[in-house]
Amino acid sequence: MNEAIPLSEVLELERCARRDAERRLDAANADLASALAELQSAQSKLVHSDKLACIGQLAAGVAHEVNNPVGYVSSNLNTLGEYVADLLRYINACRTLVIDCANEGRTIVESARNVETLADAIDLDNVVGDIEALLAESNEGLSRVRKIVGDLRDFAHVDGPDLALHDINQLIDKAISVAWNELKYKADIVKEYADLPPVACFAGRIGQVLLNLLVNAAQAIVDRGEIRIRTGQDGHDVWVDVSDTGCGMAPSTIERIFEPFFTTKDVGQGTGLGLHMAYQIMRSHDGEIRVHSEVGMGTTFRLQWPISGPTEGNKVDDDANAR
Amino acid sequence: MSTSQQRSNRYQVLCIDDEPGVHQALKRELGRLGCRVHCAENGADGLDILNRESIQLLICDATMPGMHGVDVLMTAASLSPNTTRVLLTAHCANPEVVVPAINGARIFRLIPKPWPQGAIRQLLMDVIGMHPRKWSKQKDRIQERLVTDAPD
Repeated sequence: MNEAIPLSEVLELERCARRDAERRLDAANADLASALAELQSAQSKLVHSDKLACIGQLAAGVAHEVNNPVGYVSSNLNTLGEYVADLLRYINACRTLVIDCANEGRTIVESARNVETLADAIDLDNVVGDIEALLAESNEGLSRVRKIVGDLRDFAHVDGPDLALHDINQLIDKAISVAWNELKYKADIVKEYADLPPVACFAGRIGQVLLNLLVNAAQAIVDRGEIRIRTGQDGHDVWVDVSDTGCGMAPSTIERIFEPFFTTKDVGQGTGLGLHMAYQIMRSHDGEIRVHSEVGMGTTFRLQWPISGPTEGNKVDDDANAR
Repeated sequence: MSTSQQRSNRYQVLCIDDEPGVHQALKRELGRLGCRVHCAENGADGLDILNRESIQLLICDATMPGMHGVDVLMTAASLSPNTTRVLLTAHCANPEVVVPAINGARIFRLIPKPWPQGAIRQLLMDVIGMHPRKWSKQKDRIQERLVTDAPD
């Protein structure tokens, strides 16, 4: 018993143990790396799903916005079809009259009477007088449909990995257009836009933040109020203020609004991600989101970020998010 | 029947909708069928007209600034019970709108937005069909238009 173990054997055992530990360390590292990748992809999906949730919520409103003009434009086109049928009958009667005149036949008086009777029957004055208005109104309706569908498409579009220069005032107008059905019954919209240079940003994501702020502002207003949107330049930064005359927030609420999954809205109304995402998106632009609110007075959110966009480090960060 | 109703021999329709484009389109469709069409952009103005004029048919939108359309229709039901009430809305699939409209405001018909071709004419034929003798002229007018507008 108690035979001494040869030194070489001890060393061999130790080597084995070390190799084993290294292998496990490598495996643990690989696990961590894949967990990190998963987290990054989950976060990017979260950004996108919040955007989709927001757009989905607005889509019903957009559909309503579109249904009104589509309704009256279709009705107008049907009426126009009836006008055209009537006018063709009238034109045919006139042609008969003209032909009769040319032939100087005895039927002229009768044909002329026919034309007059027909003019009465189809209410010719009204038809002729209404056509231009009908076409103008239908055109206006179709432009509205075209605009809102285009604006929604711009918003649903996912940004590429590259920053681009954008007109921020125009971006705000598109956000207002997409959210219009949520806004119009709640608030008068007041715009105070400054002349801004083109601003480097991920337009889809800044648009998502603006949409969130606008919908929040409308939901904070109980009956009817005002939403004021101001833009400006502060040194190398651009800023956007979204103010509402809504119910405001208590300090205990303000403390938590940027936490993920924090919401004061009813179940199904909010994901609790909107402002958290706004915070993340502003950070990825090297910018910030600030809030000032008083209970009963209203709330102002300010977005501020460099006109030249985020620095390289953040762009790489954003590339990962965009995937 | 009131005396004013006897005096005015035109079928009177009131359209309450916050979209002027809808007013114009309904004016065209119903005007061609011989109706006189009144329009209001919100519930309060609409109920004023309903009080003043003798309206046979009320076509009302759901979502409008101020009073909701279903509330307008409910008020109309007690204010002018003989006026036929119709809800014209893009929210036809929303039970929160439709159920109180049918059970509460007891609407005669629910018409979707955008409304199908012929829906308004069919509506008018059906409401007039309830009082065929009273509105025989309108009925003739619709028949006339049906004949002239029929495709050859």
